[in-house]
Amino acid sequence: MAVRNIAITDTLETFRTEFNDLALNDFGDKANLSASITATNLVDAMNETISIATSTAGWKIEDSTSTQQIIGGGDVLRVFGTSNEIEATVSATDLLTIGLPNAVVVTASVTAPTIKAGTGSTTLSLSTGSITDSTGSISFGDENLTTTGSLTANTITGSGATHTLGTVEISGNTIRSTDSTELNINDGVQVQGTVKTNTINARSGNTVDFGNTNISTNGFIYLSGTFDSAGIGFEGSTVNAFQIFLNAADATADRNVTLPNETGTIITTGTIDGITESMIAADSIGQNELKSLTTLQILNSSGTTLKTLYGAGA
Amino acid sequence: MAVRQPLYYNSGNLQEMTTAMVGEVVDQIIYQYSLNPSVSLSVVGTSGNLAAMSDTRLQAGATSTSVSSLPSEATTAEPSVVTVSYDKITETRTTLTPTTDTGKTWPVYYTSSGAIQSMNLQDVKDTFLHPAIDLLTSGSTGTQQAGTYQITTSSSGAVSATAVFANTQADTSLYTAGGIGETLDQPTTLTSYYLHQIAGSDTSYTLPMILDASNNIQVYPEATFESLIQEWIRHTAVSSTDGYSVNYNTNGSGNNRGSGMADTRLNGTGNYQTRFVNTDDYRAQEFPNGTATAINTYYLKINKQ
Repeated sequence: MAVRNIAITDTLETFRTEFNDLALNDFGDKANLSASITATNLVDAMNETISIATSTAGWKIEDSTSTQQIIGGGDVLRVFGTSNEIEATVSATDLLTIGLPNAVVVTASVTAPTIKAGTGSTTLSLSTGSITDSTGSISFGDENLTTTGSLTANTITGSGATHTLGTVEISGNTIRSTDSTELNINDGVQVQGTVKTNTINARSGNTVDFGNTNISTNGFIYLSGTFDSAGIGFEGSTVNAFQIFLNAADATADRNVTLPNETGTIITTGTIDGITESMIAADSIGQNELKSLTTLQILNSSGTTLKTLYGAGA
Repeated sequence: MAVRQPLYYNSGNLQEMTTAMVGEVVDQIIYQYSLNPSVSLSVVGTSGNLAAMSDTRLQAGATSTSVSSLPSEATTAEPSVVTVSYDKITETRTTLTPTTDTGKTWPVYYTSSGAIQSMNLQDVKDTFLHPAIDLLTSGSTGTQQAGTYQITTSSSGAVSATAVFANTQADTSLYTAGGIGETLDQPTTLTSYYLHQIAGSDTSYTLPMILDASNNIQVYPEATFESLIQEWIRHTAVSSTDGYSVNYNTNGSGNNRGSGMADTRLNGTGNYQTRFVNTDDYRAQEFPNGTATAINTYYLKINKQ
């Protein structure tokens, strides 16, 4: 409360209102003085009070800031605890017991306490940035732990069924994102066991690069795209803008194309002068393979056909 | 009549033989025949089976004698004709059984329908054998008649040194009046005729194609082909039943072979000569005289039938 001050230039009205406030709020109503006080003004009343207090078996109470309070004879020292912080109990004949409740609330901080629970010798220690327990483990029971900071642990063992780290949920053996249908692992992934999935897509672009790793399967490699978009591309010996693509025609039934057990070059309809004699099995070309079929019969002297030769027509 | 054009191997291609090439094959057939003719002639001393040829000449008439005067011409015997028969040529026919057609025995040809077919025997006859026989039996005496025979007046290279015919004539120079009582027949041989076999020539030709056992087409192996055609030309010459067997005769049917064997004889009526030996021996004789006149000309003939 500021000291009331009337300047020379203040008006009477200011003076009046300040005075009234001074009288009403600062000094108070004399009528309210204790009946045990005989003085009729505040100064006298105060002096009378001091006199009374020091003249009897009074004493002072002082806190850690050296603030003192006179406790006069007849005065009542009231000591109240604060819920969940400290509790005070007055008992006969003159016992004041101050203790902590079973549930303590520390509003500001508890500095490096060591908490001993129960009758055992184990202790829970709180220090700056650290909570430790002499048993080597701290159980939070079924409580939820919430932090806006980081959680650093040498080992995190979840005993519950489902665990969520941010938007990543680990439920049993299942990891998923809770906000999308995709987990983004921003690093390489190495899996000791088998990776099971029905879909593999490129993370960016349209290529999944297996590097120089061999791809092995006991089943089929099924290329589900249509003729123009599905196939196997080969860069060849030179990485450039050109590739050799292995495509399939539009299938109208299941077909089997068997690669022969031999080393060689596959012949296509575009091959020119690529078929050599050794590639053609003996007795394997029939008349239907010849263009503009011409036959030449070899007859005996009786006109009986002995052999028919088939050739491409002229 | 089916004359074929056999196929031959031409730089990797099969090609029909030209007529000239077929002719070369025929020439080779003739040559093969010449190596072992199936109808052969030989010279024997007598009784050859070819018809005999007669050589005639005049001989002097018998000598007339008288003890008192010279015999007149009228009473002197006229020259007479001496006839010598020549039957020294014998024909020998050697039959054989040739290889039969298996259906692939003969060369192949390109049919009009575009097939390759083996020739049958009739084709072979029409294309090869009969033309060969035609040539063999022609009147020429070149290599295309090799293996057949001809008559020449040369003994060199003859089948035999014995003439198969001789044209004799009375040697008028041997008859003299002083020798009356001359041997009647004092001939001289004007011309001797000898039998010759025409030599062959192994001319080049193109081997035709044939089907082998696997019905593949191959060039006819030369030895096999030549053996086969020799068999069949020999068989044809000796055993043909369709007009191509070969035979020889003298002055019969067929073509003349070589020189005609002329029988000439002096045509005089007699050269009357006398001789006084002594008063008890008067002689007269008519010697052959005149000019040589052809009595007959014989030919060795080759014939096909």
